[in-house]
Amino acid sequence: MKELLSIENLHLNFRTFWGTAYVLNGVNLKIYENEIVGLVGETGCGKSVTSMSILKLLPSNAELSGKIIFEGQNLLELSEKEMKKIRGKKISMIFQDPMSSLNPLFKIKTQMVDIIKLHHNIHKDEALKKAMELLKAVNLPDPHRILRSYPHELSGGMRQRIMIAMALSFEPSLLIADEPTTALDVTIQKQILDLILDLKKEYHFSVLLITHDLGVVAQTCDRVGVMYAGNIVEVADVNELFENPYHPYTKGLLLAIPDPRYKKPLKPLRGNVPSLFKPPHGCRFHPRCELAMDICRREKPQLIEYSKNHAVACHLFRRGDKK
Amino acid sequence: MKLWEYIIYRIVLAVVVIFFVVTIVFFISRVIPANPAALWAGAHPTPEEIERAKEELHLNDPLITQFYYYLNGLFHGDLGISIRTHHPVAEDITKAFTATFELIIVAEFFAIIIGIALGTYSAVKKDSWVDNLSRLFAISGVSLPIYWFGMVLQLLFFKELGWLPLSGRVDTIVMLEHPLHVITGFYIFDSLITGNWIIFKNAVWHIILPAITLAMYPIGLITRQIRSMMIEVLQENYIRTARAYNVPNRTIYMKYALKNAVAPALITVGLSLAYTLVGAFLVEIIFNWPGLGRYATYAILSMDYPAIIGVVIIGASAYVFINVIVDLIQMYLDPRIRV
Repeated sequence: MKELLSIENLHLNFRTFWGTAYVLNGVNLKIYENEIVGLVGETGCGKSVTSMSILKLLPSNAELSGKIIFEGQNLLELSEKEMKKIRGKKISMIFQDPMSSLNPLFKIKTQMVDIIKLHHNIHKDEALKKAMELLKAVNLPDPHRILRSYPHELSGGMRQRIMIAMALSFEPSLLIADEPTTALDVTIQKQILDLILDLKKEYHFSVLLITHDLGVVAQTCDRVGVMYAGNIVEVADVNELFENPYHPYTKGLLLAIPDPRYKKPLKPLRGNVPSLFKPPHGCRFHPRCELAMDICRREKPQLIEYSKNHAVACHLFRRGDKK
Repeated sequence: MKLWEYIIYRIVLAVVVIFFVVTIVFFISRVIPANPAALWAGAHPTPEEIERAKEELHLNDPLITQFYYYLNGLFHGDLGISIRTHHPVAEDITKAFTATFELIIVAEFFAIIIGIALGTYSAVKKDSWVDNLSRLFAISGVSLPIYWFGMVLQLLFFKELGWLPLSGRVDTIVMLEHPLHVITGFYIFDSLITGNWIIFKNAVWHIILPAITLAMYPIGLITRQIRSMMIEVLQENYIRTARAYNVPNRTIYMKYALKNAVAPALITVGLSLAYTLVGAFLVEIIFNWPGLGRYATYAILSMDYPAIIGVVIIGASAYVFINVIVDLIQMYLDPRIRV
C-alpha cells in the first residue's frame, strides 16, 4: 500500500484571550491510498481541528507545528497559493452539518457553479453541465429542480449529497468527512455512508472519516485511530481494535457502547475530559485511568507499533514487551 | 399567501396605523390650551373677529363633530388650511416634503454606501487600525449632537474655508437669473433633466453640508450593524465551505457574506431612514432648508394644528411605507422568509 498522507508529530495551540489552549499534542496518523480511516473520540478531543489543519483552514490565532506530508510535500510549508492547488482539488472535505454548510441565500446552482467554474476554468454553461453530472453521480433525482432550489427547500440528506457532489468536482485523492452523518436520521445515515463507499470504489480516493459513532466506524472503515485530548492513543485495523483493544481509553469507549443483547448496565468512563488550557502532565489520560502508574504522570507515552498493524500510546505497552 | 395579497395586507395595516395616529394627534392638539382662533383672525383681533374665526374653524362644535369634519376633509385629500400661512396644508406640505425628501435621499444614499463599505472592511480587517478608526468614526456618528456638528461644519466650510454656502437650498439670485422649470420638486433632479447646469451645481453645493450632517448618524448606525453582522456571518459554516473550495476572498466577502449580513441589517437602514426624518427637523433649522422639518417647527411654535397634524400624518405614512419597502427588500434577499 502506498502512503497518501502522513501526519507527523502535529502540535496545535490556540492563543486566546483566556490563555493558550494546547489542542493537539503530537498527533501521528498515516493514510494509505484507497482506504478508509476512521478517527474517533469524544467531542473536543481534536478530531475536527486535525482535519482543518490538513486543509490549513484554521483561524488566525492558531499555531501549527509538525509535519503533514501529502504526496511528498509538507503542507505546512506550502504558501497559500500552493495550498490552493490542493485544497478543494486533491483534498476535499464534507462537513458535519449540511444544514449550515450551504449558503442559505444562494441557489444550489450558484454555489456549485462558482466552485466548478473557478477550478476548471470553464464557461458557466459547461460548469452547469458538470454540476448536473455530479448531482447524478450522488444519486440525486431531478438535478434540474435541485439546481434551482435554495438549501432550505431540500432535506438534510439531499444537502449532504450536494456537499458530496461538490467534493467530487475535482476527483480528489483524499476526502475528509467530518461527522458526515451526525446531523442525519439513522436511515439517511446508512444511505450517505453507502454512497461514500460506492463513490470511493468508483473514484478511488481515500477517506478520513471523523466521527464519534463507533457503529459508523465498524460499518465503513478499514482502520481506526482513537483520539483522546489531542493525542492519537491507538491505531489499528477495525476488527482488531474492536476485538483486542490495548489502550485503557479504547477499552473504556467500547464498554460504553450499549449492547442490546445483554441488558447489562453501561460502564461510563470516570471523570471528565481535561481542560486544554491546563492539560495533565505526562499521559493526558492518566487522571481518568484506573491503571495509571508513576511514569504516566511524568512522561508522555509514544505511539509505537506494539503488534502488527496495531499501534498504541500507553506505558503499559512498551516496545520490546511481548504479550 | 401571494405577494400581492401580502402587499395589500400591509397597506390595510398601514391605513389602520395612520388612522390611530390621526386620532391621537387630533385630540392632543385640541386639548392643548391655546387659542388658534386668535391667530387665525390676524393681528390685534377684536373679540367679534375671534368669535367669527371660531365659527369658521368649527371650534364651537363638539370635538367629535370637528373630528368628523377633519376626517371628511382628509378623505378628499384636504388637510385643512394652515392657520399660520393661510395656504392649504396639503400644498405647503407637498412643497416642503420634496425639499426634505431630496435631502434625506442624498444623505441616506451616502450613509448606505459608506456604512456598508466601512462596516464590511472593518469586519474583514477586524482589530486593525482601519477597523479601530472606523469604529471611532461610527461611534462619533451616533453620539455627536446633530446641531453641534452642523454648526461646526458651517464654521469650517463656510466661515473659515469659504468653500460651501452657509444655508438654503439654492441661491435666490442664481434662481432668479436661471429660472428652474420645476417638474418633480427635486431641484437636483429637475435641473439635471432640463440641463440647467448652473442651478444643478448650485443645488449640489447647497446640499452637501446638510446632507453630511444628516448622514452622520445613519453612517454610524449602519457601519456598526454591518460590521457586527459581517463578523458573525464570516464564522458561519457556509463560509468555511466556500473557503474549503478556494472561493476567492473577494467573492466570499462581497457576494456570499455581504448578502447574509445585509439582509438583517436592512432593519437598521429602515430605522435610520425614520431617524433622518426626525433629524431633518434640526438640520433644516440650522441650514435654513425649506423642508418639512422647518415647516413643522414653525407650525408647532404657532400652534398651527392643521399643519401639525398634516406633518404627523405624512411622517407616519412615510415611516410605515419605509417599513413595507424594507420588508419587501428583505423578502427579495432572503428566500426563507418569502411568503
